[in-house]
Amino acid sequence: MAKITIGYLDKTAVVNKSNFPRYIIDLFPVRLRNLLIQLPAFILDELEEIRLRINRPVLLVTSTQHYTVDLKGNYTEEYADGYWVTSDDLEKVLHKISQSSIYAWEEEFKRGYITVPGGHRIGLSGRVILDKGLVKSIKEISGLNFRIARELPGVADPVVPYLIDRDNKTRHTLIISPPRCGKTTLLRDIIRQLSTGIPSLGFKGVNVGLVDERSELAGTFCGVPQFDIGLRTDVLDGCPKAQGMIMLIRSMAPQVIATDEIGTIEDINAMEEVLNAGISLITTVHGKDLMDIRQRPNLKKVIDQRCFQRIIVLSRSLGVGTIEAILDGTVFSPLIAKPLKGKAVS
Amino acid sequence: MLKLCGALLIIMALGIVGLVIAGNYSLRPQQLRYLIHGIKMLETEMLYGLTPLPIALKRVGKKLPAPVGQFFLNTADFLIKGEGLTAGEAWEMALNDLANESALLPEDLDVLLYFGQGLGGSDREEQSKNLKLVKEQLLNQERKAEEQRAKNQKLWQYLGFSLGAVIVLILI
Repeated sequence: MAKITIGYLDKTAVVNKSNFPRYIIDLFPVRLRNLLIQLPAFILDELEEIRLRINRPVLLVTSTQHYTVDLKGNYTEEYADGYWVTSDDLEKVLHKISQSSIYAWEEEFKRGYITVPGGHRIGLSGRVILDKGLVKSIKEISGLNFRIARELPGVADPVVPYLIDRDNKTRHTLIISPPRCGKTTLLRDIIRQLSTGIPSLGFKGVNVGLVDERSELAGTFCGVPQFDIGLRTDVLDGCPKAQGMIMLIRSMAPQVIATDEIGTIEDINAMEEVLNAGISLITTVHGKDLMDIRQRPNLKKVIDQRCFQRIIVLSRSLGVGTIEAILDGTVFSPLIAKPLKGKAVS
Repeated sequence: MLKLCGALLIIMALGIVGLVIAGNYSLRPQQLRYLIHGIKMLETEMLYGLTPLPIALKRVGKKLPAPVGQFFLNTADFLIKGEGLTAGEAWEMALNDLANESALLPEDLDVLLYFGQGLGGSDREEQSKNLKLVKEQLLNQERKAEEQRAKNQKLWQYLGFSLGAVIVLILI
């Protein structure tokens, strides 16, 4: 695999002693960058998204608040005072993200987002080009959303004891979560722990196969996972889930298969294949709670068949990453007495 | 004796000048061929390998002799180090160096300049069209350069010596 040696690829550098990755700031045009680096660390620490929209102020999104940055580099909630993004800015950012090679990211443009080093994702919106009714690409980009990915090793600590049975086999697990509640972060950490091993539980690591359709879990950039996904994890990056699960069974002989956001009938069929092969499955689904999931015909079937031995429900009730409930999927009885606060808000 | 030496010196000097000029005529089509070769390799990297330009340009540059290879390497360097420079701008900057160091004519450089403006800025289909166009144009230039070489190279090879001989005859 080609080793990328590009000056601005220092993955670990941060801004203002916060945990905000320097790399993201370096993608912005100089003018905007100079404003952003002046932000105080406590805002940078909390930043979840930076949104650029054409002819509108730049928007800084934390879990609780929206800010903008004014021309002196101060943060403010008065959006009109903020830095107004021009089409030139957007073009510069795109050039920088794509390394001036838009053609190389066609698949990403089709999907609507680009994964960059560090596993951060940049969402795109603009004018969609169709080819025979299917999305071919996005042109005239009018909005960018920088979603900052932060690794939280240890978020799965309260959960993993419930996922391993007496024979040290991993239980089939479903994580139910609304968007932005830490679903992916939790899954990633579960994968890491199962793959590397959990000394405190006497659990030795197992081979994990990861189907990362949206390059979100491993954050693969040029073939290299940007997140710690464990020592024994194989990643199928950008692969459709249904096909990927089958491929992994045949090619990599994993003990655990993990994937994100199942839902289509193909996914469910592939899941059944995994379960029949005696491989443990860990996956997630968008939803509020078990009731919510059971209203969807595809998913209702697997839930009612009691395929999943453990069901974890996430919410934001005590902050991002709150573990609302852990259920025994065979009898639907709760395994924890009350919601656990997530590690994300410490 | 001295006269003979002087005469020989004059003939040699003018002869070498003639050879250098003749050499330049063959240098241009050669460099154009290297350029075409480079563009073809770049095309493979871009359209089939989906390699981002900084890496693609480096790979191409390493496979070609100077100054054409250096031109590709320079473009990659400008692109990597330049603050928010687009591929087109980096290409143009590297082109200035190429103009000074190669036997290429302004009309050849114009072809490259025009191509550079669209470099990397669009999807595969459009890049493919651009690459095809520039290849055709460069082939055209190469053909013209080759014609000129055939016409002029022989001429200058002999012209220098002949001119030297004429001057010697006049002086004697």
